[in-house]
Formats: sequence, C-alpha cells, structure tokens
Amino acid sequence: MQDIMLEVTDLTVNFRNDDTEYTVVNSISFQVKKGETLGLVGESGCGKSVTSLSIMRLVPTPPGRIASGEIRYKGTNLLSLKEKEMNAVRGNEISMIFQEPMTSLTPVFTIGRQLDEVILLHTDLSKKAAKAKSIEMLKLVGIPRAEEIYSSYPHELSGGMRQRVMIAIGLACEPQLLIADEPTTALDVTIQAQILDLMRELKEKTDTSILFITHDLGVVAEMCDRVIVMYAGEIVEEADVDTLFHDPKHPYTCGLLESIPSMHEKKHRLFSIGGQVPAAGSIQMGCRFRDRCSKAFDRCEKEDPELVPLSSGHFCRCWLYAEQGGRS
Amino acid sequence: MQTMKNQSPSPFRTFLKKFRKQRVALWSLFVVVGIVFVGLFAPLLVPYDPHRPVADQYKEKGMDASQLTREQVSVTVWMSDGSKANDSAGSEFTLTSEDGQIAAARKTDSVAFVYASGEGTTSILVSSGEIVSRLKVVVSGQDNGLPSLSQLVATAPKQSLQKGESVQTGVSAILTDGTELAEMTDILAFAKQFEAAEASAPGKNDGFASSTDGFTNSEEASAESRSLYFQSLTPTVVEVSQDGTITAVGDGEGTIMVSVDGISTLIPVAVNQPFNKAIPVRIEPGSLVMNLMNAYKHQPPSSLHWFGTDHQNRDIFSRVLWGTRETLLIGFVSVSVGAVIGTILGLIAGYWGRWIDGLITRCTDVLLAFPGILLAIAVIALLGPGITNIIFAVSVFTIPIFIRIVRGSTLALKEMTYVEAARSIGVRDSVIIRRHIFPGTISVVMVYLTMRIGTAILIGASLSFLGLGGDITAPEWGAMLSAAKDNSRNLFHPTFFPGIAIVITVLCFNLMGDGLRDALDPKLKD
Amino acid sequence: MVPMLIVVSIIAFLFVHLTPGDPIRVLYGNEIDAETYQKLKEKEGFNDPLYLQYTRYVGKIVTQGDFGISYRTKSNVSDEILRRFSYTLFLTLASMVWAVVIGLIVGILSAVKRNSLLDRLGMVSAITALSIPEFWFGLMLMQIFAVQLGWFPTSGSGTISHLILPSLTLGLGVAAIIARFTRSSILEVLREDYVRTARAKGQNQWVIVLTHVLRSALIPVVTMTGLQFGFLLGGAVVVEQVFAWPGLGSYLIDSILTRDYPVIQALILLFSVQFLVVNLLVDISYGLLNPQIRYE
Repeated sequence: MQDIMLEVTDLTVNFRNDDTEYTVVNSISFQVKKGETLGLVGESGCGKSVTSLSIMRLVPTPPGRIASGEIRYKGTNLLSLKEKEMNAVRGNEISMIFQEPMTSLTPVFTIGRQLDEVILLHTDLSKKAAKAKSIEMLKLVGIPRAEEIYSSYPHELSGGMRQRVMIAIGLACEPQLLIADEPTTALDVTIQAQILDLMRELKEKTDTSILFITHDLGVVAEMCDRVIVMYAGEIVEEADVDTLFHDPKHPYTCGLLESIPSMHEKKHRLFSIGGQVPAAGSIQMGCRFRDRCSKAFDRCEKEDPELVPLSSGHFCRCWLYAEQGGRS
Repeated sequence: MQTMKNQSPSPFRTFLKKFRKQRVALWSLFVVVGIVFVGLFAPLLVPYDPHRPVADQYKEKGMDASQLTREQVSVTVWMSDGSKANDSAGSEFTLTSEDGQIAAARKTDSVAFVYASGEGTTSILVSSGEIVSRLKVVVSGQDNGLPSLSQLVATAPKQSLQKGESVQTGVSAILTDGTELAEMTDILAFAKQFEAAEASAPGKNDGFASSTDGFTNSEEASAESRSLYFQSLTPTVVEVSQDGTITAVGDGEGTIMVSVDGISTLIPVAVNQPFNKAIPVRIEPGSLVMNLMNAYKHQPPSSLHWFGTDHQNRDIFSRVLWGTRETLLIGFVSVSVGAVIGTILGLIAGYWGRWIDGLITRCTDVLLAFPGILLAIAVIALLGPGITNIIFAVSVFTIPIFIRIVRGSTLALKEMTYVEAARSIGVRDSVIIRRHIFPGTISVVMVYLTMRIGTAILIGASLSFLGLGGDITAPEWGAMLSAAKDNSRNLFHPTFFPGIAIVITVLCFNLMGDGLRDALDPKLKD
Repeated sequence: MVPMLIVVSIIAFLFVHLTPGDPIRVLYGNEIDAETYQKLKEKEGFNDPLYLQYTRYVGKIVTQGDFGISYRTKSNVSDEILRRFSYTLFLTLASMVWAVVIGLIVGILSAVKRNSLLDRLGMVSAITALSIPEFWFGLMLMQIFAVQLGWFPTSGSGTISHLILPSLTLGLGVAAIIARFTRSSILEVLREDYVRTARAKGQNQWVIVLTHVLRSALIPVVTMTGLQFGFLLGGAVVVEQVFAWPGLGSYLIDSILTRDYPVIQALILLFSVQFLVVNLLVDISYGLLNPQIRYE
C-alpha cells in the first residue's frame, strides 16, 4: 500500500442554505497513487472543487461542512488533524493551485513576499536564502526577468504569468501531492497549452502526484493517467485514461466524450447532453442522471445504482452494467 | 402600461416580506410603536404634573406627604436588673436632633417622630433623665458611612457594697452599625478616631456645634466629652475615679453616671443595704439607623416616584414620559421635512441632470463635508435658540443626505426599460417621476428615514443639552440632562433616567433601520 | 478645496452681516452720538461695499491671522483661539487613539470569530454605542469613575488624568463606527480568493488576518477613520461642555449663547478648514496604502 499517496473514503460534504442542508459531495471514495496524475472531471457544480477543497480542509465553514468520511494522506487521516498540524501539511506536503489566477494573489503584497511566505513557513531557510529560492522557482516556472518580477505587484502581471507564480508557490516546497483545480480554465488557449506543458514538465522532474480537476476532457487526455467522472456529487465512472476514452460505459461519460468537437469530422451540429445538472438536494431516490439519460428505464427511478467494477480498475455507476459486475 | 405594472412585483411588498424575517428589527418596531404611543398620550399617562414640584401635588392627589418624610421612634428602656421597663416608663423620653437642618424630632404624648428637613447624615439623641442614647439618621440616602456611639452599657456591682469597698466597673458600647465595643479602651479609641475623622471634615462639624440647645451634657460637648467620663450623682454615698473605680463612702443608694460623646448611662450602687428598686439604665431605640427621605428635593427612586425627583422636586418619570413628545417631534418633523425636500431635489437632480444636477450636487457635497451637529449649531447660531430652530437645523443637514440617495436611485431607475418605454410614448416628465421613478426610490428613502430619526433625536438632544433649545426648564430629555449636570452632580438618578430614555429610543430606531436595510439590500451600506 | 474654502469664507463673512446687532454699537457702546457713530463706521470700513469688506476680511486672516475683535471680551479672537486650539487638538487626538484601538480590536475579533458570542456582543455594543448621546455617556463616566470611585477628576484640564474621561467619551461613537466598518471590510476580504491561497500555503489564520487581510481591509477603514475626524470635532463641542474642557468647542457654545458673532464666524471658518485639511490627508494616505493606486 506504500504507493498510495492519498486515499479518500466515503467523503460527504454538506452545505447549508437558510435552514436546509444539502449534500454536495455524496460519499465518494478514490485513491491517488504515487507519481500518478488523477483527473477529476465533471460539469460545474458537480462537487469536484468542493472535493479538492475538502482534501485541503479549506471548505468554507459555515456554510459548508465535511459531514463524514476519511481523507488519508500517507496513512494519516487529515480530517482528524489539529489546525496547526494541518497547516504543516498545507503548502508543504500537499499544495493547491486555483482556478482564478487573477484574484488568487494578494494584491497588496509583492510576488516575492508571497513566494517567500510559503518557503519561510515550511523550511528553515533564512530570508535571503528564501529570496534566492523564490527567484529560482520563478525561473523554473519559466518567468523571464525573475528578479524584476520578484518585486512586482500582482496587478502588474498577466493572467498566465500569475498562474505561473501560483504554480511556483505550489511547488516551492516540493509537495508530494499537487491539487490543481482547473488551473487553465481562466486562461487563453495558447497560454493554457504553455501552462499544461509546464506542469507536465515539472511533474516529470519532481515525480509529484497530481490531482487534476477540470471540466475539459481534452486536458484530461493530455495530462492524466487515470480519470474519475463525477456527476451531481457522486462518482459515476472511474477508469484509466485509455479505457475511458476508448470504452466509456456510463451514459454520462459517453455524452461528455461525444460533445468534444472533433477535428477530423465536421458534424452538422455539436452534440450536447440535454437538461442541466440537478440542483443539490432535488433528487432523493434513484439515479441522479436519469432525467437526462437516453437509456433510462424503470429501475433508474426507484433504486440508487452502485459503483460496480466492470474490469480491473474500471468502475461504473449505472443499472445498465449492474449484472456484469461482481454484484447481482 | 397597466399590465407592465402588474408584471413587475411591487418592490415595497417584497421588502415588507423580508423585513418580517428580521426579528430584532421587528421587536424594535414594537418598542417604537410603544414610544410613539407614550408620546401621543403622555398627558394621560403621567402620574404627576412634570412642570411642578411633586410636594405641591401630594395634597391634590389626596396623599399625606408627611408619611414620606417621617418615621416613628420607638424605644425600649432597660432596667438595672436586666428587665424591660413597662410601657409607661418607655414613653417618658425626649428627642433631640444634633442638626435640625437635616432632621428634626418631634414628640407628642403618645408618639415620637423624626422628620427629614434637609439632606445628609445626623443623629438624634434619645434621653430619659440622665440616660442618653443616639440613633443615626440618614436623609436622602446621603450616608456619610461613619458609625457613631449609640448606647453605653455599664456593669454594675451585683451586690451591695460595704463602706470603703472599691469595685471596678466595666463599660461597653453599642455602635449605630450594630457592633459592640466591649472594652473601655476600645471605646476611647473609637471616640478618638471619630474625633479625628471629624476634624478632617470640618464641614460636618456643624452637627455638634448646634447641639447646645436643650441638652444637659452639651456644655461638655468638647474634647472632654469624647473620653469616658464618670461622675457620681450622689457623692455622699459613692465616689468614682475616672478609671471607673467605685468607692463606697457612705450608706444608702447612689448612682454613677458614665458618659462619652454625648451619650450616657447610669450605674446604681447600694452601700450597706440591698437594692430597693431597679432604675432605668439604658434606652434602646427601635432602630439604630433611620433612613429618611427628603420630600422637597432629589427624592431617590421609590414606589411613589419610579425615577425619583429632580433638583426642583419634579417627578422624573413624568418628565421623561412628557419629554417623549418633544423628542419624537424633533425626530419625526425634522427628518420628514428633510426627506421630503431632499427627495424632491434628488428626483429633480437625478431626472433632469445637466446644470441643475450640477448645482444641486455641488451644494450637497459642500453640506455633507461638515458633520451634522456643527451644521446644526451653525444654523442655531444664526437663528438663535429654540425648538423650532432645532427642527429647522436638523432638517438642514438631513436634506443633502436624501438628495444624494434619491438622486442615486433615480439615475439607476431612469435607465430602466419601463421608464424609457414611458418616455418613448410621450408621457410627461412629471408623470414619469411620480408614477415610475418615485415608487422605486421609496424603499431606500424609508430606510434612511428610519436611520436618520435616531440621529436627529441624538442631535436634537445634544443641542438642547448645550442650552440651544431655548427653554432649559422644559421637560425635554436633553434639557433635563443639562439641568441635572448643573444641579445634581453627585446624584445618579437625575442623569441616568432621561439618558437611558434617549438611548432606548435611538437604539430602537437604529435597529429598525438596520433591519430595514438588510431586508432591502444587504449590500447597502451607510 | 480652494473653491470650497471661498464658499465657506463667504458664508462665514456674511454671518456678521446677516445676524441682528450693530457691530459699531456693540463694540463702542450704545451711548455714542450720531456723528461719532458715522465716523467710527467710516473708520471701521462698514460703509464700503460688501465685496471690499470681504476681501479686507480675508486679507487680514491670510496675512496677519487676524479674525477681528470679540464682542464680549473686546480682545483679539485669534489669541483666544490659539490658546484653546491645542486643548481641542489633544482631546480629538486622544479620542482618535481610543477609537482606533478599541474599534480595530473589536472589529477584527468580531470578523475572525464571526457569528460567535464575541461577535454578537461586539456588534450589539457597537450599535448601542452609536445610540448613546455623547454627553450622557460622559456624565455617566463622570458619575461612576469620578464621583463614585474618585479615580479621575470630574472636570477641568491640565493632566493626563483629566484627559482620559473626555477622550473616552468622545472616542466611543467613532470606535463603534470603526468596529462595524472594520468587521464588514475584513469579512469582505476574507471571501477573497487570495485568502484561500494563503490558507493553502499553510499559513496560520491569525497571521493571514493580520497581514494579507488587514492590509487590504484597512484601506477603506483608513479613509473612513479620517473622515470621522469631522465627527470628532462635532462631538468635541458637546463633550467639552460636559467636562468643562477649555477647548474651541466650549468657546463656540459660549459665543453662541452670548451672540459673540466675530468668534462664531472665526470658529466656523476654522472648523471648515480643519475638515478640508483632514479630507485631503485622507486622500493622500489612501494612495500610500494601495499599490494599485500608487502605480496607476
């Protein structure tokens, strides 16, 4: 079990609105192995960002609340750590890159100060050494004129540059696990490619495990080893990246794959999955995808489907495949 | 037009719906309604006329004012054999006040009373023949905190003495706070300390200086009387030395008087014969300390006057109730005037824009650059003191606030499609403003109206506190506090109650305003 | 700022002309005969057109700091103002210290411990403080700490202990405003993405609040605090009266009650200049705190 970096078991996260509590992430379990890049895919609002924030224990509380489950990092349950112990993990063992590079840096501090902060927190380096390390990190993430940028303010930098700074902050303490929450969504396409290249390159250098959260399957194909597809707070399919792209099982996954525009064939009209993600708490029973599913039948209305193994490392939550799995 | 109106939900109704959720604000609303009620019906609610001293009103109300200020004195006389004297002996005593300015004592055949006549602490001496005891009288709660000697108890020889025999007597004393001094040395030490305390507070000496009238021992009310003084009243039978040693010198019954600090007791001595009868030796007042109230000034809060009375003996509770009217008048009228003028100007500035907007906005900026109270003071300085001028002054600095907010929402509403639609079909400007823009601004105006009333009341009270309200004797909260500050510095109740009335009123308006604001738009800030 | 000053000075100048009372009669007594009266009027320049009188008035102030003669004491207004100015200055500065210290502590604690008992208590105290008339709070403090406990003198001036009660009284309202404003400002900043970034770095919550958050959150607080100086000067008028503090505020009230118009005129002008200067300083400090403004 040594090669398992992170193990999430039965994680449930609730959010409170007015007087009602909604389950946003419903009893999900997955593992991230050492050196692996795991993709977490789903539409907006499916709970993937909340899952990643839960691992860092950064779910805004209130209104959010981790209701149950375990998050084991190298065997220790992060949810049982004291705030102080958790702070030693954050930014050091596990770090996180956020979706919004424009707003994720403190506007009133220089880039240098924000980089130094994380280095000084988790290492014994002197201020001077921290500065040298910061500049080295800036160079590593491909920022030109690193010394100059070091004393700049965030608003003087472009979005791509800021995301590079975020990555530099994330990697400064050589974390074992990097959580990237849609790191390229807010960026231009060309910049997106640069950032992805940078991440892949750095991963090869450092052998960090990555939990890569995105709604872009193209990015997944490029970056990930294994993929988890989430829908309405649940995992609906889990497979390695080849299996998922070549042999998707869950109707939702199939829909997602079909909606990717292809370069080779010019379709008359782009495919899209009809309907919308159901609002949290609106479905009490049965499959959550049934209203948008073309293959739904009676059973989908009445019983919750289970996540069943189809083949080695391939799981799916759908009544269509219930009999194929070990369970009957 | 009509259908369009129906489609967009009334902003006022949604606003009310949300307001109902604000629990604190809702409670404040109830309190405010209560305060307004009090203001409207104050003349019916006040227990006393707030303009006149209460003492003049007791008779009209059929109350016996003297009940308030006097207390009956009862005494128990102890005999030398340790028994209580019978009733007839118990009524034969006289009362003397040490300071008639503070309290006076009067006795008829059947009852004795102590009356309050001023303020402070004094003592009443109760005497029956040679025995004298003291009780402390505190008027209007102005306790000096010092105990004084109340009674002396001497141990008399139990048996009759032989001629030439000497005995030592023991003397103990009871203080007005109930403690007992068992040894003579203690009594001496206490008397000394008391003397020192008195010397350091020469103002309080008056009590003793005026004690000359009608008291037997008063000629000795000097340093001598502060120490224990033994005197044989029958020198042919017994002699006594100043350390309390009694020596029998002749046959018969003798008496020795022991006195200190104005109080005294007797020691009966029998030589060569048994005691004939017991004599009274100690007179014990029913209460060692008597708390009286001065009915003519600064009565403390009581069941009769819940908030007490002020320096002119007017009922503060009635004045506070009455003051609600003026306070609410200042608050409502000034803010309403300010809101109406401000809203009209704001609508004009926001709707027409151009030079008229520029002019109004510029004036608003100038006025808003100054704090409200100074603006109000400047207006009063120009117009002179008086309540109408206070209302005017408060209105003046309320206007620019309303201009600014109404202009802001007018600018936003002007861009709404329904306004543009109305304009495009040629509806007159005045109609557009009245029908389509004004209703949109009303909720925000209401919020500010509520919040400004609190401020207006505060500033109105401040102005009348500063003496700019004209009549400083009026039952108005600010003026009451101003008078209390000048006339009742050391007292708590005249300053406390009018002030807490202001706080409660303003707080309720503020909480209500906060609630309204949250219901209207949580992001709206002052 | 300059046009504002001109407007204010015109209003202040017109003050003496709009108000009842003949300055010549007030200054030289009612007994003087008509001839002397005319002579004096000519000599004092009251026969000149208004604009000329105005320019002379402003000129005297600018060049000599001369605000005219007090009707009541017949002495120079500027001397009296100069003597009293430092008292008001000390009072307002001391109040500002109270207000900033209390306001920031309450505001920060309330924001960080949001929705806790501490937060509720802090905010209820704040709105109550805003509803308490300063003069009554002053009287109550005086009653408790000066009359009953005897820790401080009841009124007057001279030592630090004289300053404590008046400045606390005056600072209370502003402290409440600062506390409320700081709290909401911090709460707003706490929702920002960069706070999440800082937390993801493993930084301690308190350190984040005191560095990342406070720096951004304080920018509006500084602006607002500066503007509260006006509030303090207004309050000083009342508080000085309560504690018999010999500052400009009590001078103003005395002058109003005795209709000493030259003094009122001078003080209105002076107070206005103070606000305008404070507002200017606020604008400058705003730029120093916010790098975005500094660079643009």
